[in-house]
This record gives sequence, structure tokens and C-alpha cells, in this order.
Amino acid sequence: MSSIEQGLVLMLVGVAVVFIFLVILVFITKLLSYVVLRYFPEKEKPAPKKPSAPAAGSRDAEIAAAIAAATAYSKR
Amino acid sequence: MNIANAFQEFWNATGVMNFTIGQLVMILVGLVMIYLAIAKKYEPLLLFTIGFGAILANIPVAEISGPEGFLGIFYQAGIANGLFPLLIFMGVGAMTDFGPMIANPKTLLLGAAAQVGIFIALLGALVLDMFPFISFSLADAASIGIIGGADGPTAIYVTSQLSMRLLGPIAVAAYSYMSLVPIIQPPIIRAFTTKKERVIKMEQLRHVTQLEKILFPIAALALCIVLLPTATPLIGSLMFGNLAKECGVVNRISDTLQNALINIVTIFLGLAVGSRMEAQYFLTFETLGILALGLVAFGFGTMTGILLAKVMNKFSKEDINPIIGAAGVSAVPMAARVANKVGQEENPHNFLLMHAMGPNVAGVLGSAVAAGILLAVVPILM
Repeated sequence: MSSIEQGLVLMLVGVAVVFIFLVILVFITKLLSYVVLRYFPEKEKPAPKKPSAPAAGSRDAEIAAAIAAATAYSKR
Repeated sequence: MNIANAFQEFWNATGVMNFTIGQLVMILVGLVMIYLAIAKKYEPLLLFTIGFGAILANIPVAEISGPEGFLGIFYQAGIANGLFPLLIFMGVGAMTDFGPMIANPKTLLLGAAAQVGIFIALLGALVLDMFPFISFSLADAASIGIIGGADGPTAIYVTSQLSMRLLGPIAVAAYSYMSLVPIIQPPIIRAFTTKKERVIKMEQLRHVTQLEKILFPIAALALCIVLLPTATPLIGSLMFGNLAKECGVVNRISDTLQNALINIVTIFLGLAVGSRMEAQYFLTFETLGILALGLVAFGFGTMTGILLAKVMNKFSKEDINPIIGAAGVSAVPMAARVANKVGQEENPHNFLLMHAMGPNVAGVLGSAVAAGILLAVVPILM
């Protein structure tokens, strides 16, 4: 087998295996997300009231909420 | 021995008397790399250290990169056995956020498509082997191809396992082209997409929970263990770092991996790679061939990533902007930033960065998988 032929074999095998591997990983990831979101949803976090960011944080959040509401309203 | 003789002996041991033209040229190359790092900020962490290593390696008499010299010791300690690239990969894992990819798993396919460049360059190397002055074995060709993975540590790891003699030029080509991604990719992106495609807006990514982020590295490693054990050194290190970051209970380890450790290893790795740039090994026609093939690998990888993204856009329910396919070559996070920039040139309100991070980190996995395949198959074919 000439080296070019070997290269072609390697190319076919390589591209095929990379795709097979990542296609399987796509399905695994989807399954994983499905199971996690279905059976172990994240608990509603008791609003981020960390002592590190007291007043400023909540005000930022209020502003963000106001902006979000305004954007949603204007999109209608 | 009289005074005149002593001076004669000293004179014979000076740099002036012992320089070869090749060494001068390589010191100049080292200076150019340092210039590019400092003045142009091209991958400064690596071009600076490699460039300085190249200067030290080409000093006559001192034998700094010989087995007893300090660069030679770095080289033996971590490059020859593939240790340093794996340590870097742990740091990369601790800095990687797989979130955008978990939110949109389809983008993993783009990371696969962009690896085609690796195998095109591999074929190219075997074609170049037919020319005079150039001789590339299959193992050499595989190491050259992996430049197209656009992932420095992966390229160094594969080369250290398959074809040690080409380590200098391959590492230099890999890191140089990674720093040139903002110059290489945009024209290719524009050539293969229409304006209509480039302005496509993508839906915002959903929130990814912490549990998903913790389970993903374990699942990916499990798949790798089952299908491709030769890729587990790379994927295992990557996922070790990533899990350390995502689990949230070993922040000290995660912090060390992504800061102190990766910085220290970068110093050793850069200098040791530079030490492989000795004139007699580096100034060859083969180096020119490797530099050309590296460019081919990058170009084709970008192209195939974009083409698959176009196909996916046709068949998928939600819109996919084909530009993000270019980020599949890895070169994290540079390629994703380039995709974002090209997208904003067409539509300043289009933010593709997070969407491009998906294929971008998928590209890291894709090139590690490709590396695993080469490491598994090439030794058998030889």
C-alpha cells in the first residue's frame, strides 16, 4: 500500500470516527440535559441575597427587571 | 602555557569564533518572534517564551539545549514524555465553560467538521514527501496534520508521541497560526457565506444548570474511555480541570490549575519548544513544507466548519448563522471572537460570541478525538 493510499485510509477512518464520536456525544448530552431538567430541576434559589452585594445588587436586579419588562413591552 | 596562548584559547571559545550562519539566522528568528509578541501582541505568552528559547538554544559553546543544558532538561522532563501539554490541558479544562455547548449540543458537530483540515493536511504532507529534499513518513504527516486542530498542547502531545524530530517546526507553526486566526479566518468566512447568511440572528441560549455542567465532563470522559482510550490522556486532563471548576468544592485546585500551574508550565513548555529550534534541525525545506501545510490545515478546517453550518442551517428548525462554523477549529477563544466580530461587521446588533463558543469548545474535544485516532491507528499502519 503506497503512503498516499494509507493517508486516504487514515482520512476516511479519522473523519468518520470523529463524527461518530461527537454524534454520540450530542445524544448523550441531550439525554443528560433531558434527565436533569426533568427529574432534578434546579431549586428556585432564594433570590441572591449574599452579604457581599446587599443594596447595590438588588437595585441592579430591579433595574434589569425594569429593562427586561420595557424591552418585552416594546417588542409587542 | 604563556599569556598569549591563554588569550588564544579564550578567543577560540568566544561566540564570535563559533557562530555558524544558521545559528545567527535562528537567533534572528527568535528576535522576530519576540518582536511579534511585544509589539503586535500575537499570542505573547507563547511566542515570547518560544522566541527566547530559540535564542538560547542557538548560542554556540554553551549547549543550553543539549542533554546537560537547562533547556534540554526542561525538554526531557516534560516535552519528550508529553507531560507539559497534559498539564496545560488541565488548566484549559478549568478555564473552559461547556455551558454554551450543552445548551445547544448540535454545535458539537461543527467541532467535528472543522477537524477535516487535519486530515487534508496529512494527505498534503504525504504528497510533499514525493518532492526532493523533503521526507515525511506517515507519523510525520499525522503530526503535521494535527496543526489543523488549532490546539497547541494537542499538537505538541501528538508530535512528542509520533515524530519527535519535527517538534520545533510543528509547535511554532501551530502557535503562529493560532495567533494569526484573526487574519486567516475572516476572508475565508466571507468567501463561503452570503451577506444574507451572515446577518442571521440566533436565539438566545437557555440557562444550563450546575448539575448538567457537573455531569457533562464525566459523561464525555466515559464515552472516551469506551470508544477511544488513546485520547483519554488529553480528554481526561481536560475533564479533570473542568470538573474541578464546575463542582465548586475544590476551588483551590481549580484556581491553581487555571492560574499558577498553567503559567508555570507555559514558561517551561515555551522555553523547551524553543530549544528544539536549533539551526541544524530547523532550517530545512521540511520546515517550509510544515508552515505551508499548517496554513492549508487551518484554511480547510475553517471552510468545512462553515460548510457544515450552512447545511445545518438549511435543515434545522432554528436559525444557525454559518459564521459560527468557523469557530469549530478550536483556537479558544480567539476563533469565537473572530466569528463574533465578522458577524457584527454585517449587523452591529448581532452577538454571536456565546453561540460561537459552543463549536469553539467542541473543536477542542474534536481535535483531541482526532489526536486519539491518529495515536491509535498510525503506529499500526507504520
